[in-house]
Amino acid sequence: MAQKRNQVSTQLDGKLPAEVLKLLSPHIEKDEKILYSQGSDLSPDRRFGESYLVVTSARLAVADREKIYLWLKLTPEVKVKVDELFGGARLVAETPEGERHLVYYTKAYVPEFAGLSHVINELAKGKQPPAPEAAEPAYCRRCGAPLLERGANCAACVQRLRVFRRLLGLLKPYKSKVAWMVVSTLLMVAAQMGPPYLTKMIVDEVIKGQRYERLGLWIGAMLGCGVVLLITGVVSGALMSWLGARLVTDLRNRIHAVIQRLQMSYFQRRESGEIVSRVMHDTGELQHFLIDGLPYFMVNGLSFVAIACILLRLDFSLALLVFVPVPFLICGSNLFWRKLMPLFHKHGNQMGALHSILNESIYGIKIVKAFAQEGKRVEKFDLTSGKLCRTTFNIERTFIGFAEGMSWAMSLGVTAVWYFAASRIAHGDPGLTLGDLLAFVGYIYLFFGPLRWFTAVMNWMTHAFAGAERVFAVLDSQPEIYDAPDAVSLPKIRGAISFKDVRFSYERGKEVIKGVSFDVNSGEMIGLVGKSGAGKSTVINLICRFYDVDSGLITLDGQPLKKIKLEQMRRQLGIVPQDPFLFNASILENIRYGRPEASFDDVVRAARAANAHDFILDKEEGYDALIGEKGTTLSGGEKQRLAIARAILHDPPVLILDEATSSVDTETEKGIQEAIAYLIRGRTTIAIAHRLSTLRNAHRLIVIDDGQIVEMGTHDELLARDGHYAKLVKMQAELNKMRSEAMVWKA
Amino acid sequence: MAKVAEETVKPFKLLRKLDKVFIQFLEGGEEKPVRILWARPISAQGRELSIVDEKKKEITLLKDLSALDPSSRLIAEEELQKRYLTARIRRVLEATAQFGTRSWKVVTDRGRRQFVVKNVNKDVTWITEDHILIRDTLGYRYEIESLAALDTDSQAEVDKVL
Repeated sequence: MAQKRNQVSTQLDGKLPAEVLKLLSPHIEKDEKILYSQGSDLSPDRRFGESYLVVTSARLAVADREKIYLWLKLTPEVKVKVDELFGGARLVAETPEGERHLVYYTKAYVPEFAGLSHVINELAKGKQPPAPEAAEPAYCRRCGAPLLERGANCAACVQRLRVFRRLLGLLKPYKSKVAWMVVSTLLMVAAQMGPPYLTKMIVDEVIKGQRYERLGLWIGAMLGCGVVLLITGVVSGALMSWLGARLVTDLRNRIHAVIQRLQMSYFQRRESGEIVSRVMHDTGELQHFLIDGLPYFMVNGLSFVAIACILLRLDFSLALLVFVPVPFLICGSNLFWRKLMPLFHKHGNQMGALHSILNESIYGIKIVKAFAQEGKRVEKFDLTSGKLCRTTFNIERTFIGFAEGMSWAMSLGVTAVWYFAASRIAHGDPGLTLGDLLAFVGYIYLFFGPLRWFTAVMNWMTHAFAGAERVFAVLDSQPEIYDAPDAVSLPKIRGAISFKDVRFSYERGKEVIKGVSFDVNSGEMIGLVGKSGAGKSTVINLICRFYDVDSGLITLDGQPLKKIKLEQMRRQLGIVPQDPFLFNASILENIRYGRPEASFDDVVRAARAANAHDFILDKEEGYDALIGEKGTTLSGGEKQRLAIARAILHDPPVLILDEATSSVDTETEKGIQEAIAYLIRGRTTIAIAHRLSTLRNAHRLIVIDDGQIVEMGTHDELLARDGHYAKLVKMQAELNKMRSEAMVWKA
Repeated sequence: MAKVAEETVKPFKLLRKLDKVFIQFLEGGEEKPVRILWARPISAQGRELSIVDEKKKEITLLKDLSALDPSSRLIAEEELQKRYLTARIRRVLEATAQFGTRSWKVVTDRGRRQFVVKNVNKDVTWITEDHILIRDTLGYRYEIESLAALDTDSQAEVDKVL
């Protein structure tokens, strides 16, 4: 048991092992109760193993199956915190006597212990906290293997049959096409079986039996087989391509639609490249397999069985002779693919490495040249491409060896058939004819040929299905709830926002908003001020309900945000983000994004208000100028003004400005300032700005530091208080002074 | 080359109280809780180390452990061992490539472990041609101090996936 535990003991569930419980129970007081426990994958001496943190109603205990390491009384002075380490973390208890390390764990158990530490701290304060939420497991619940990401499906436990069934389910709307394809495939296999048998008939009947009148029949049948093969090949190929493309298109459309409605937290945790790969690469791989791999599987599987039957009927003992090499061929090809697969992976990696070097070389060319590092780049590229060359050669060499080996093995089979059959025919065996021999030889090639690819196709299938499983996982993930059944309709928002003791964390255990409360009146402009990372953008994310709060309450017009119809609410929010995202479309379409039906006059009015009209007309194509890769490039300030025009046209009751003046020079900022002054009239505005001058229109300022509100009031009030805000203002004033001095100096 | 730790720092020593390390300046003043960090935890553990206060502000950067007096050095060594949880691979039992990822079963100085590496180009650092650092999907790190020093079976397994 101990041996097994040590082997890969990384999967631990919430349950406390009986041994640990037995160790602890004698020490548990009468009115004390074990509340929670959490296992770690590191032993107290930080080896891979296990240790347990046990929380009772009065104490903490650290133990493993052999020993109790620590008891600690929970008092209001005790505070437990997470200390992040290299590769893991530890829970540390701050006690009046000093700090104690409780338990060490690797990154596999970060969320579990983060949740538990929160619970312990509440308990220590004498509260009755709810049980820690179960975290998504880092290990497969079935096989215990580490997962690619928390809560992902285990690639090793892909249930091919289940995936296959689900894929078949996608084919349901195209039943008749599937039926035609199956029929034509069956016909194709039958037609393939014909020619060798017809050869036998011609040799035995026409040549040896001297029945010349039958030649026309058999030749006709041979031609017929050819025609059937041609037609069924085209038909089933076309159908299969159509179905494969259709299926993948359906899947791709569905996954894209699902992604549009996923919660923001889904995107928070993943790189965009990964999601793109899910939509394009995984589905593409599947299409490939469905169009090329699956027909191969069907046709060759069927003909394999059919040929085996025919051979057995033709001559039993000779057929057995043909079957003898089959296991060897399968084993051989298995071995070969096992050697080849790692080489393929290596090839892929080296290709990827080469790609990224090339990418860097081209995108970073200015820096490479400026630091005169061309020689080094060339050296690096040559080294990697040299490695790639060796791997490519290795693959080709292995391939050639395999192909030749298989051909040789097959020719051995053919030779054996010739030897045994010829000697039997020569000795006058009445059971075997010359025609049988020729038919045998013809079938052998049909029989052995596909064997060498069998393993490859199996591998291919596993890959494609693993991709399909990943796609299904996205399809199955939790979308945003757009319209809860009891959702409140707010067709015209007034814009009164209120935060009540709001707490929020993107990642469990790392609270970003730590109990924030404030009220914003309808029509008021609020400036959010604070260092980067203080939590300003998070406040905005919460107002937009991109994320739901962990605890506390946000209300809009007195209604809890969670209860308001999401789509309706978001339509009434306008956002001017720091780095405004513009779509690959004309300026006109971009301004109209939130209100496609707006008249051109309205668009121009909005653009004028945003101080964008003039620069738009200055473009060669005016309002029709395309933005994006193929079109005009815009400066940061121009983009921001377009984003403001977009927001003005959208005319929302609640406006959010997230660093709307960050990437512009002072002169442009003045233009944007004017635009903003126009924009905020008559609506609730929440603005974040690094440049405090941007916030001079704000009715009130909220200063946030480390997830908490430290000051709140008007500009003058805060200056008079001489606190955080006053310090920030002073610092910026100095900065501005330095800038103007530098200008003078330059002049 | 200028030496690191040029700036002068008042003489000090490290203390341990329960599980916490403190810095004490010899000329007096209050003890301050500190954390001890390697400056280059991936490429050069054992070289420059930094003593940082609770507000993540550096107090001093030392050339290596020898810059400390013997008792402080013991405390620093122990603290570093507790903070850096890298496992050193002694034997590779099995390394397989599938679904574009790499799965490893290894014996390390901390015991046996199974892990998965997502992207060989991103998650494997070749410090030299012989010295490799591997990061698994969870962010835990494994080190092969010398590929050549591993037994031949282990080397063959590594060669299959890297």
